[in-house]
Amino acid sequence: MSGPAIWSEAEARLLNALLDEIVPASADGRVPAAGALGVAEHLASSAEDDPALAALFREGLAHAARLAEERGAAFEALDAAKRIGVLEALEREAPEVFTALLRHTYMGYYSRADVRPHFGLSDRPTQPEGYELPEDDPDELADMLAPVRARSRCYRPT
Amino acid sequence: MSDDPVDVLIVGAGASGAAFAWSLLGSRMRILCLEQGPLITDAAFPSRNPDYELSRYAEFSCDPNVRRLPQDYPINAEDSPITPVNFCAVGGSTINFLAHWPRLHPSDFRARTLDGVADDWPVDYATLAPYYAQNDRNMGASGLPGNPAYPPYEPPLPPLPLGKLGRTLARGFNRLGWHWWPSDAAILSRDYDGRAKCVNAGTCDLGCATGAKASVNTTYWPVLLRAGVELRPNCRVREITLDENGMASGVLYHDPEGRLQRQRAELVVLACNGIGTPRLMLNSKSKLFPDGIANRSGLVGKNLMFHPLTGISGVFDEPMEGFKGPMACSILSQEFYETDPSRDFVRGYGLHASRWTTPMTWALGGFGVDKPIAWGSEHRHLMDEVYPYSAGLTVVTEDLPRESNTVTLDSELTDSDGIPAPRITYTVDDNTKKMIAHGEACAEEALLAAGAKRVTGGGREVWWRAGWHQMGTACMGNDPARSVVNAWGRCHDVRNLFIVDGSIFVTAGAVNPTSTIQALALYIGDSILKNIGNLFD
Repeated sequence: MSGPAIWSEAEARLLNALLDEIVPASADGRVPAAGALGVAEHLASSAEDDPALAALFREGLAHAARLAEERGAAFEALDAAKRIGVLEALEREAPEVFTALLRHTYMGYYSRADVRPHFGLSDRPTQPEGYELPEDDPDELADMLAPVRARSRCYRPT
Repeated sequence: MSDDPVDVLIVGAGASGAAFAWSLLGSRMRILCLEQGPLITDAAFPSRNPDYELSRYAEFSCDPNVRRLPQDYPINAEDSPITPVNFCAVGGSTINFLAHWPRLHPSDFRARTLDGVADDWPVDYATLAPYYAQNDRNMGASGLPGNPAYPPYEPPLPPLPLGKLGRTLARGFNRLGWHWWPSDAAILSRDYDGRAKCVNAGTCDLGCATGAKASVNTTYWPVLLRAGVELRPNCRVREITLDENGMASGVLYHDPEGRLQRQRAELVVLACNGIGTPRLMLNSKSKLFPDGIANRSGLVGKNLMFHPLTGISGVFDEPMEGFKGPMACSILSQEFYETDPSRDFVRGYGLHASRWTTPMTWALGGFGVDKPIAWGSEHRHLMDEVYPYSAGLTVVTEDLPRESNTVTLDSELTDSDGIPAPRITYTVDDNTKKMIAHGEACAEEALLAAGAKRVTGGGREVWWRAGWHQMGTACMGNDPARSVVNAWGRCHDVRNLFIVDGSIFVTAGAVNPTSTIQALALYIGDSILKNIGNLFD
């Protein structure tokens, strides 16, 4: 898979593999993992506008690559347990980098219209259609509030 | 731009400035409002965009330190566990507020008399009640009459739907025999005054593109502009000027091109919120007022109050559909609002049913929190099996005034016009910490009673990005040594300088303040008209 121009081919492969571990696919398989969904493009877009963030991402990729090598292979070639081990080590050793990676991965993933329906939300913008929310039946609401109304006033006299 | 003197110069086009201007419309005074932010239309609101949630972390963040737009002023909150949030535009923070609309209780105006803490207000609930009602009509408030937590009043519109989340939590409160009531909201439950009712979009903080939420750019400002009030957006006031008699003569402000201009006025009215108003006053130094204008008491910028808050959520068997409906307005329990001598704290707090927010914000730690949730398989578990089934209660506590909680001018940080930025020095006091602990325990009890399988959150940490309510930094009072403004908003030290925003609150109560801020602004405007013959005596 070729990555956005901000990263080399190797960096893009590593990033996509990292993203797939950070947000895996849903159990029902209907929502792909973050790398497979193309969230790297969101990270690239964010980094293009923010040199400090770009530096953090590069630092994180280099750090993850080193951690993978210590485990005997490129990250993408490691087994699942070792890939998770790399991420755990990155989280421990470079918390600022890791938090930035998490934040932007989540932002890229959950900003996608095709992800929201998995959680019951519309794939549309929230406005102007919004959501259907039935009005409360006045009699039923009165029944629910009857015990509250039955109490004496609950504010203090002044 | 003209320097012709105006009768009334209002600084700030948000909740209080707009309501105040409305109160003077029958007076034939020439009214000018200077607003540092732009005039934006609903087309600019991100809730119409496919990736709307991203805006919450960029140009539509509630945090000016995140937005960093030219009209924003940065805020140094390094010495505070809570950072102030706001919005700078015509409409002010009503653009992105959540429009929860509870009133203060009568007892909130009498904390000294009833509980021996803070001070009594120089006005009371009964005095403000007609102004609350007028403002409810002007804004279009929804709610249900008969709440036993208040003296009787009737919102102009019926309540918003409770939704599945609200109904579920209400059952829990009923099982415990605790108070709850449908939330009052400045959001339309019916078409009203040319505005369409709420479509339950659930992203109130991203601007209400359909206009159901009562942002003052939608409610007051169209009326004000038709009536001839002059509005100058993108104009940031730098300093209030004095004449040779020690009266306010007007302001110096930066026009949209950044050039310094002078504007003269007979009355100057500050409506810049509890951070912006003391900042402007402290930056208005003179020989007469070397510590900031109208600050002989030394109280300008002191007694800063927020509403420290935290949240607990329960995980239920069924999806709670919490993304549907106004974010903050479902039900409110005031079971623990009033002082109870059997507890280890004075005053109280509210339990607010919060409709749950959208997936990205939940994954990033929630509204007001920067703490991304777990990654990997735990992430999928949390998002797929916890998030949709969650319903939350927010514990909103009263903050007592303390002079050590301050707004001062930062020695280095400035806005884009070079004006010193505000610096916040703030700690949460022990009384509030006890409320937080009590509130977390009671929220957990309510959630379990409502059927939650388990609860999460808490830990007695207050939310960081939660300084919505900024109060107390130029407080009202009858004693000039212990207050900045009198009982109707006039500065003790400068008798044609008025303050109409949350700065003048004496105590904070434990409810969202905008309804009270606007009621006070209407009351102050009315008081000016009643006292017009001897306004400066």
